[in-house]
Amino acid sequence: MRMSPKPIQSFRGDFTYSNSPGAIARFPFPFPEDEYMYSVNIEPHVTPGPEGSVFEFLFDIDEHYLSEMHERDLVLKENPKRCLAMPHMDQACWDLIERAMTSLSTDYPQHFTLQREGDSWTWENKLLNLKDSFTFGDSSTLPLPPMEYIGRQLQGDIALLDQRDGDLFLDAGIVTCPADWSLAFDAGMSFKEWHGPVPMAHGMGIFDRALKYLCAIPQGRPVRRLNWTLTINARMDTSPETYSEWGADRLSVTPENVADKVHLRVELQVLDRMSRSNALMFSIRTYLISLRDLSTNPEWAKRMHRVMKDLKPELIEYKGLTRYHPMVVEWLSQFDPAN
Amino acid sequence: MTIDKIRVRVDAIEQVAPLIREFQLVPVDGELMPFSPGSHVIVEMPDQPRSHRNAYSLLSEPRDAACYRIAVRLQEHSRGGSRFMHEQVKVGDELAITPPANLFAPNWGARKHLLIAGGVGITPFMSYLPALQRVGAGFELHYLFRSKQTGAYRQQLASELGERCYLYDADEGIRCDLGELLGDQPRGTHIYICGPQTLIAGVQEVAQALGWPTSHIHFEAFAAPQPGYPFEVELNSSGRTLAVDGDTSLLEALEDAGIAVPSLCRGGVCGQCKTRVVAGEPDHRDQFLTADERAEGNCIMPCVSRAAGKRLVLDL
Amino acid sequence: MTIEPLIKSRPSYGPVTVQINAKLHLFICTAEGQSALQTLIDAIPQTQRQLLVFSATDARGAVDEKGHSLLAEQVGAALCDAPLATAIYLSGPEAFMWDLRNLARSVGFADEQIQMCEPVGNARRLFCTHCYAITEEVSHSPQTCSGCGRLLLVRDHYSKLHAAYVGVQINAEDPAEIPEPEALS
Repeated sequence: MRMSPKPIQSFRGDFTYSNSPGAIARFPFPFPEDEYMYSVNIEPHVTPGPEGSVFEFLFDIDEHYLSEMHERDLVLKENPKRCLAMPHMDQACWDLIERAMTSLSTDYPQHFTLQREGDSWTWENKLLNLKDSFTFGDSSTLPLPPMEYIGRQLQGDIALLDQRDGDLFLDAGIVTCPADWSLAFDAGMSFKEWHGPVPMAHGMGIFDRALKYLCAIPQGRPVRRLNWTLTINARMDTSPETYSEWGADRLSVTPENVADKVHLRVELQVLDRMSRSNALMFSIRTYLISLRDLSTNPEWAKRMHRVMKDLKPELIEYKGLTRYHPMVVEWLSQFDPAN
Repeated sequence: MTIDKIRVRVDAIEQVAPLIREFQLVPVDGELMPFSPGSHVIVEMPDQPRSHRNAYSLLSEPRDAACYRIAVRLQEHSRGGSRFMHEQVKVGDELAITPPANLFAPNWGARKHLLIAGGVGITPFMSYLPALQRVGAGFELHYLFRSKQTGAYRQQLASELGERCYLYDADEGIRCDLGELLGDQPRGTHIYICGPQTLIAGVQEVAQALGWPTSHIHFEAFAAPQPGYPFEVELNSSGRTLAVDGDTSLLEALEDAGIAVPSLCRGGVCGQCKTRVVAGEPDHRDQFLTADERAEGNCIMPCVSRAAGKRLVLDL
Repeated sequence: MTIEPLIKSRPSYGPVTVQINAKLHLFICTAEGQSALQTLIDAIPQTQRQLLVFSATDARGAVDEKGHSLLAEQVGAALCDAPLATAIYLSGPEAFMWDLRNLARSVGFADEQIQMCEPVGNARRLFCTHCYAITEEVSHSPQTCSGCGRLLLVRDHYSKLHAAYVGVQINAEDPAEIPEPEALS
């Protein structure tokens, strides 16, 4: 089933965010096995994917669109440096604009339309009541810098990676709902540098293999992977910048509220080659679901219990789960009596 | 949309040098995509008894999505691909190409771009030049060729680029003094070389002696697979055995048998088709594997490499 | 306090060797850093080398945000006059060396032309992930941020662009927690 955007809900303060039964049904549950191990797990993002699934299109627009765009606005107003583009990434930003506008207007014609006459483009986003005419490639004809302009209309974070010397560099992006990483600090880093804090994976040669693979992605053949962590409350902006505001949330988990407080946070990461710049788009689309909603699917609840129970201590630490991990395992155990 | 293959029609063919033909390709339906300077496509050629798949640089204006242009040099020791393009392909024919991929992109941080082309190696630079001019980048083109065989587009380039274009026609006895050229460049210059392996090695050697930083030297070789002796390949999972004849690459033989192996450059450079060897000794012809990996002998780049003996067993 | 796994973005410093094909050998160091380079300096004929030595005070904040410090001007002139085939050898505090590396790259040098000795001292430059302020010469963790005053855990995650380590509030989960400072290595 396709999702229609619903009125704005909050990802902070009173946390009114909720998933409808349809959103729960299409949630990208990330564990194919009972044990979780860090791996590259990259696969082709063949579109159109299954109808109604989060994999159907290049950019997934769902019922949380307005809420997420509102949340992004709040973050950028507080800290405009959550969006940046180095000067040499201008062409890549325009590539992203083209890829996003052509995809969205084709995949969601009821919400988005694009008219092109040569370089004269008119873009209409009916969900946000936007209609802009501009000259493609000329940043002075947009109401905002190109990265911010398009980033404010896409759910999920976006990074644009410049490819040179056989490596990928984090040289542009809009990052307002990260799982604890800072675009401002990581800007300009190479692929291995910005993955520096990921434990265990380095010795396994995972990054060498992944980097070679990513550098060779051609146009028209995007790839994807899922990543996950746990988040307390339905908080989108779990950035290092705002850690002072959300760090204490981890102390608020009790056996009574664990099912509603603790959310599985899944990132659908898509990598797609940009046309003119040869940059690689890295989109990180975040989905949140409370343990209670997740447990409405008995298979998920059982597997989630097994994965959590056997999670390696390094990963518990790295993902910041230490304080409440035992309560999660305990609550989930009711769905997995055999274990 | 996911794009595996693009159907194109040959819209025009032009002899642009004694041994080089240019093909203009237009989409059979829809639009082509813009591409980045230095991109190539793989052209699938439906020859008999078997098809060929060769990589060719796109030489059209990268922003133009109406038409792609490629140029093909007739190779003396052709395994069939370039001969097919020269002798079989006619205006109006349909071919399949892959979406563009890029293993030879400009470094936009360069303070100056020094382009060195040998023969048909001019092709990737044809897409560099409009992009470099558009951003007002500093550049020079040094074009080495033999006018009795190659030298495509030289009049056009000379008139468009003026004093930024340097032509060296070996058939007229005009040579390029690499020492002089590389010895007098400003700091922050990047060198790009496309041409035969001898030219690439020559530039690298001179650059090293002159103290150039290696990360400022970029190159793309004509690395089409060369013919060899026939051999057999066994697939470990099924036990199936395929015959690879002398003019077929191992990768093509696998593809012809319906076995999907990821590939990109088809010239032993990019590493996409790396495959594990279970038994048999490979004849390594790629530029991707490290000396250690070659010594271990348990992997092969099937796009260019073959069996040293009569048989290989692959982990496929 | 958390135990950090080995973080791979932290730079490692190998032995510095003469780049034989270079036409000019440019040595830039602080007075304290010169001894680490002396053997190399002595190995190069005087006509092929240039030596710039700075006092510890000059070296502090070698390049300010506008690139206007005296040091940046002097070094900038030397870098801009240097030929393409120049080898650069750096020795001094870590942030000083990375500032110079960034300056050299901005005028067209490649990373492989720039070599760094083991940094003099353990002082780190710290980038606050909350307010983006820089705190210089940090020797202990946690460290109070010079911008927002938060108590920052000094991590090993390093940005070459900022020439700094990242600092994250150590007691955000429980502000009552005030760990004893530990010396950094």
